[in-house]
Amino acid sequence: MIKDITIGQYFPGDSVIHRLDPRVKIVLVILYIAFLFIIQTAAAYLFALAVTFFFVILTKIPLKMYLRGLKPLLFILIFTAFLNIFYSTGDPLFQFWIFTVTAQGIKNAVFMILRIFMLVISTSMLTYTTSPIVLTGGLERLLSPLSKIRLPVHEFSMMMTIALRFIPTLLEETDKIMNAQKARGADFETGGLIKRAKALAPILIPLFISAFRRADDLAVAMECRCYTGSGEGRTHFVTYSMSAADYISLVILFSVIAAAILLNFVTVMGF
Amino acid sequence: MEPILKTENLRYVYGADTPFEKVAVDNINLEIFEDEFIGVIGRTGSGKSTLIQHFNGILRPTSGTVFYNGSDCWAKAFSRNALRFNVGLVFQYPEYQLFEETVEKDIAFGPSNMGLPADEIEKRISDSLRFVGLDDSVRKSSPFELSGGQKRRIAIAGIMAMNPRVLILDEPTAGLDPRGRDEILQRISEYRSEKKSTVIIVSHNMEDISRVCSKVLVMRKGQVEMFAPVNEVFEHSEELCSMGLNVPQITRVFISLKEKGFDVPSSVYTPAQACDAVIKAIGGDGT
Ligand SMILES: Nc1ncnc2c1ncn2[C@@H]1O[C@H](COP(=O)(O)OP(=O)(O)O)[C@@H](O)[C@H]1O
Ligand SMILES: [Mg+2]
Repeated sequence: MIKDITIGQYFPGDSVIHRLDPRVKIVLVILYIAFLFIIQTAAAYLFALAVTFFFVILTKIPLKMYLRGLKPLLFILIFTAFLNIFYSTGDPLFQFWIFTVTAQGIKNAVFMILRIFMLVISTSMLTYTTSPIVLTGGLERLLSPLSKIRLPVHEFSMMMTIALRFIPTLLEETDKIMNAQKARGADFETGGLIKRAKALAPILIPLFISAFRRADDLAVAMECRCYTGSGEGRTHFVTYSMSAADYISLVILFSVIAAAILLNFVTVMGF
Repeated sequence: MEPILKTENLRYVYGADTPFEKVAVDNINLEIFEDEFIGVIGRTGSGKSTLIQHFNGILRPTSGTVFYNGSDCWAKAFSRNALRFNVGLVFQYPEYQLFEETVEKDIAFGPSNMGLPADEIEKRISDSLRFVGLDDSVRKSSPFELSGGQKRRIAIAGIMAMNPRVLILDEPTAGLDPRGRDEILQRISEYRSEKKSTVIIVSHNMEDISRVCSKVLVMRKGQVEMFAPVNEVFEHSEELCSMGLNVPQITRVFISLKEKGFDVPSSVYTPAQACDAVIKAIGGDGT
């Protein structure tokens, strides 16, 4: 079913990470990604893995959920690992047929996989623990200085919020309409390209009609509440203020980055 | 006699293996026979819609089995497409599934998926329009320019046109005014007596169901609470009330009378029964 997509999904909860200020979380994740790209040694990677798992445990969301997000990337992971193993230059470890495996290659492959792995986990962590609405709210606040140079930050974030809000609704609607047409014997699975494209009309037409109806209703409802965009003096219902946990997590992350830079100078058995 | 629809230990879970996991129906064992007129009732979220979507193979049971005419609907050799023509399901708010330019084309969608010849489809369109009480003049109009109630009837006609052996309607009266509601129920009743087909109506309104159905299936928290002829179900009218179901007004009056100490049954649901009960209570002989 369409609903099985987990990327960008939110898992409601009440962990320390869930409660962090969204602005802090966004900054943390960006810093963390930068951090993933400066680490170079085995020691630093081990350290990064430990840090990642520490945060995973803090979110109280099962590791299984994070791994699920990796599934679509499996092919790319294997492919890049393959390239790295066989096409790195260095001292050959062993050889067969036309392939030369180098120690350097294995190292590159393992590091690459670990890096993508942690990259996906940390970005998933942001969306898993922050509801889309809060996320765009945080983003709006972070970007608000840009409105000084007349970038429509508020409008942009409102559009994002509305789009995110309606994605699950539209998916649900698609599911319902598909089922209703299946009940009338519609067949979406067999036949050539043209037949399949034609088979989409019974889904797309009702879907568009209902999307436009919703958009219209929403626009009217917003106008009734005097929404005029980012006019003068518009305030926010939710205001964010940084708590002790936010400062602590920033301090932790900066220490982690400092530690990683130091660990880059430590080599274990030549790695 | 073989039941036309049967479930065995049916269980369905939405979002299995996610934090949003939700058991929608569980432990459902039912036998539905040809020619029955069944009303399915229960509060919102009690699993009515989930249950009926198993009857035409839209949902696949998480565990348990659904049988149509004695064969397992999820067996390898079973054609679920054919099942959907035999068990017609009208979803809730079916007017949102209309998509063709004209009413007749939309009604023809089901029959043409069945591969029927053109003249047969023609006949089915006229018949089904008649069943839902619309005349042939709407055939060429766009379904989108009709009123809400008319759209609903077109959508129902679209399923009736497949001439299913079992017709299932999910809350066909939801969101209609009392007049539209009566009309739809009336039409469905007439369709049933003419076609002699099995009909299942989902509703959360006991009044609707008591008027037309012969058997009632009461759902509660994903389980079957009762499945019995209408009069037997009404023997438990106080229970129905405490489950938060809207029993007919007349039944509520009799429940109150009984509470006040009058010697009347609480299972009354038609004016005729009410008359008899009152006459009996005041000791008259009905003359
Ligand atoms: N598509 C869905 N995804 C997840 N949960 C659902 C879905 N549809 C229904 N449910 C849940 O399953 C339960 C039964 O729903 P449903 O069968 O629609 O009940 P009813 O038709 O009696 O109102 C409800 O708790 C509902 O929240
Ligand atoms: Mg329902």
